[in-house]
Amino acid sequence: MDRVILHVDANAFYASVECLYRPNLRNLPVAVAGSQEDRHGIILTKNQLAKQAGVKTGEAIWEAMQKCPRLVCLPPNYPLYERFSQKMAHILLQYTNLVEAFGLDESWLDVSGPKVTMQEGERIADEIRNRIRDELGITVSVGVSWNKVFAKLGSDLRKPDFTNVISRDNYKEVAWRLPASDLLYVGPSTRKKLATMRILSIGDLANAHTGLLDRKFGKIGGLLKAYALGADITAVHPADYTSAIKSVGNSSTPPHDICDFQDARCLLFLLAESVGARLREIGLRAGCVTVSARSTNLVTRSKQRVLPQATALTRDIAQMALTLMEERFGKDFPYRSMGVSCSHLVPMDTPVQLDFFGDAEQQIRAERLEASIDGLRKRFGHQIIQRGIVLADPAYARVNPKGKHTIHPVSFFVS
Amino acid sequence: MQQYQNPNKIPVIVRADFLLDGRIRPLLLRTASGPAIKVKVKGCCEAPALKAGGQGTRYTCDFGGKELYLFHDDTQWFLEVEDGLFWFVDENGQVIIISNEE
Repeated sequence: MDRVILHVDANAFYASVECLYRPNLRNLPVAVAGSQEDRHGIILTKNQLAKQAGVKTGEAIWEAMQKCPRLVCLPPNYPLYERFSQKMAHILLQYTNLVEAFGLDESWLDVSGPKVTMQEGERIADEIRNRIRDELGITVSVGVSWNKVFAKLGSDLRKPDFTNVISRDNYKEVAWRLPASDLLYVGPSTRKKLATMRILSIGDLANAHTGLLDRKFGKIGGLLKAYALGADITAVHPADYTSAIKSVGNSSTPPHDICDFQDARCLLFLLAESVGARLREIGLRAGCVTVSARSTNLVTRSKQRVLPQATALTRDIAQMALTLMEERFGKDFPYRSMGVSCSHLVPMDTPVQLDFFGDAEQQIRAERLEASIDGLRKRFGHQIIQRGIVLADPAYARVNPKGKHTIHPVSFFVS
Repeated sequence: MQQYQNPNKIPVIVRADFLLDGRIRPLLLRTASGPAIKVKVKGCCEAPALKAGGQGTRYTCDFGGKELYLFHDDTQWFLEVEDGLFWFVDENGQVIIISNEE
């Protein structure tokens, strides 16, 4: 018997929560946007009125204001959204423990059972929608299907506050007519490549030659075809499932462009501190460092290198990051943002092959020093102790990448 | 943005019992400088406060035969009223007015 998978997607989540708390704004076009002063001034989400005025997610605030002069822009309140997300999860967990969150506002549920048909799944979806609307005051759209990919397609079909079923009887009429870009993991770049092959719809992708897709996209080609055919078999993981951490990274858009090597040094040290602290917190060492930089015209490049020895020390991560910076990015200033990421992770208690000519005692001293810094910051806050380098620029002195909020959906490809 | 004071939302101070099963039962409430008023709970559920703005545990309370919603939203307690004020006659025959103080 087929599985019955639901995908629950809150409609304009941040904007809906803000309008719930501010009744005076409900009849106005509202958007939640980042801070313009901190150069994060883009639209994160918008309500229905703003959407009708042409405001788009991801565009700059000034662009949105040109389209909609009456637009009310509110700053994000992530603690509130997290609280609402937990309340939503609490409702969903009353139907099954196989609830897999995909960000704050989306979740998959697996309600399969011996007597659970697609009709029963639709009934459960309607009940969930009504409960979330009545108990939380926000609306969700729910997709029902036999696999996660089509269930997610279903939740995007009609908004707000609808249940959409994509079953074996109707998937060719409903899903296959949609543009290929609607499919999970088909972004702008993949869409362009598919268009060169005259693959414009999900149906075209489903009927495409597997060998051609493999040659163009590698192993992801076959995967995309499987998604288009509804042959995705990935499981909905239980709510308490945690996947193995494969990398730890931090990127930041500082208050001003990174114009020279000194600016880059400050930021990379800050990022390396954050990444190092997080690695030490979760008891892992990293064997590879990746540095990425985004130019002012929003093109991102990266470079990585394996470390001679796995480490969680800020000084080692920062040193490698600066070396990569000099080699790869030293000539193309200014940059808008930079990132440092560590991968090839191993547990902290993994035996380490020491360097015969190295100074193991210095290594131990360095580890103790950084553990002390972590302890001070945990008790008294991040600003209690700072590296001298960041004091060169007051703008960096108040940046705390570790403390800043990051919300990323867990990758669909969990192991 | 100028802080907006919703006239339909009256923050209150609440004295409550925290029960062994995790439920919270409000016993008394008052505004910042008003008298303490006994709370008679008729029912409770999770609900949004569509007029006052907010969401939380909604207690349907009886004040002198009139129903009013008391909300517990995270750390805040508030009453949801119409037109900025609520009045009722208590068991001693006194008129009690609850409103947003300036």
